[in-house]
Amino acid sequence: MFLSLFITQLAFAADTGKPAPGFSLPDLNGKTVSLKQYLGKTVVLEWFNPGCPFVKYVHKDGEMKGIANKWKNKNVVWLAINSSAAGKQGHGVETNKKAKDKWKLPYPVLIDAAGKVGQAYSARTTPHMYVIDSKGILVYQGALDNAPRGNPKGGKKIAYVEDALADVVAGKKVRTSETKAYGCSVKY
Amino acid sequence: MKGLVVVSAFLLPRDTGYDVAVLYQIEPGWHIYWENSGDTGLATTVSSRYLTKLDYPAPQSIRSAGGMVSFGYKRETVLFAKLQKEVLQIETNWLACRPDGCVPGYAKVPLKAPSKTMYKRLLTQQSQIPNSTLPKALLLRAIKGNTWTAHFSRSSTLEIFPSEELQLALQSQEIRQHETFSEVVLVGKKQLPAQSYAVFRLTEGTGNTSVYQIQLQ
Repeated sequence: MFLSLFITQLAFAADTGKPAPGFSLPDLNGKTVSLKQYLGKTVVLEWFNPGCPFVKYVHKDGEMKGIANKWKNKNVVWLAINSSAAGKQGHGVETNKKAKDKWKLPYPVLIDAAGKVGQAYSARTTPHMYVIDSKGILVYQGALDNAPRGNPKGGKKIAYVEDALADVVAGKKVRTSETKAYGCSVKY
Repeated sequence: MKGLVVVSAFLLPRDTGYDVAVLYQIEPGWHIYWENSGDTGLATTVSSRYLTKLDYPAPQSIRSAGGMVSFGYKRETVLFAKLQKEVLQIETNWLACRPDGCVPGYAKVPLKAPSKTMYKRLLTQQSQIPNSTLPKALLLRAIKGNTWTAHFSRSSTLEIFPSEELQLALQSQEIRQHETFSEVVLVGKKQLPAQSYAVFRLTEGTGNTSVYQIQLQ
């Protein structure tokens, strides 16, 4: 008695607690950066688009300013990934070089114009954030914090990524491993 | 940038059940977001020190490249607020997006009395606020382990908008059309939060639509 009409929607996502999808992507100087070269270190992935107001906010006035340097001596590596397709907002080496200079980003911006790495991680927004532990396991995915553009939801600020980093560095289980990312859509 | 979203706020007569209606008029091609913005975006919010309740009309699905689905409003929407005390103005934040970019917005909006025509328009919009009584078309709902199942009478077309908490817990979402009923199956990555909810829009063969907020349990 089953009709053939059958609609399925699946929420694809990289699984928290499983090995993070591997990748090799060029940085803004054309040098290849691979995830596997950072085994033994904690890695933060930040989905990036210099044209998105949320990205502008966190780097200009907000919570991402100086954050990578703050965690650097705790064996934490920061990588920005830009999955904007050709012709879409935020695409292009020059555009990203300018943003990296303007915001004095001390870490590489990797170019994923085909969107393959973005899709593997199911990156939906800029800034969508991921934390990978020293064994290559994805331990956090979601929002930077609960305060889009500086307005904490419920009044009290929770810094999800920094909380996760503190837990990973201390060898503890990450207290919140998944949240819903906010921001602009990734321009696939 | 001004004019992308024009916001007005109206003081309502008490018998509407709300105190304030906030009308957003959105430039064609752009959209703003529901309380759960979906895969991308940011919820539209209204704030006032005396705000006790804020109701959002059922949204529509907005698809973007890469298979992402967001929940929001195009052209026009109205949020309804209850306040503890009379105020002169409310504040609101929103994010307006179109496929090539987003612009955040903020406004302090003074309250005014609606004209007769505006009042009628607001009441029409109020019918889009989800009803929290269970629909007659809902024949069964059950939660078992990681799976939530609901059956609706067959005549309806169904749209589902999960709350943020539910969306985060979901692994997959299916609508199966059987001969005599429609079946919704939500599968969680782990146990689904029973207190979470989804908004359903049911469209009957006649084209009549009604919206419901259904708690998993």
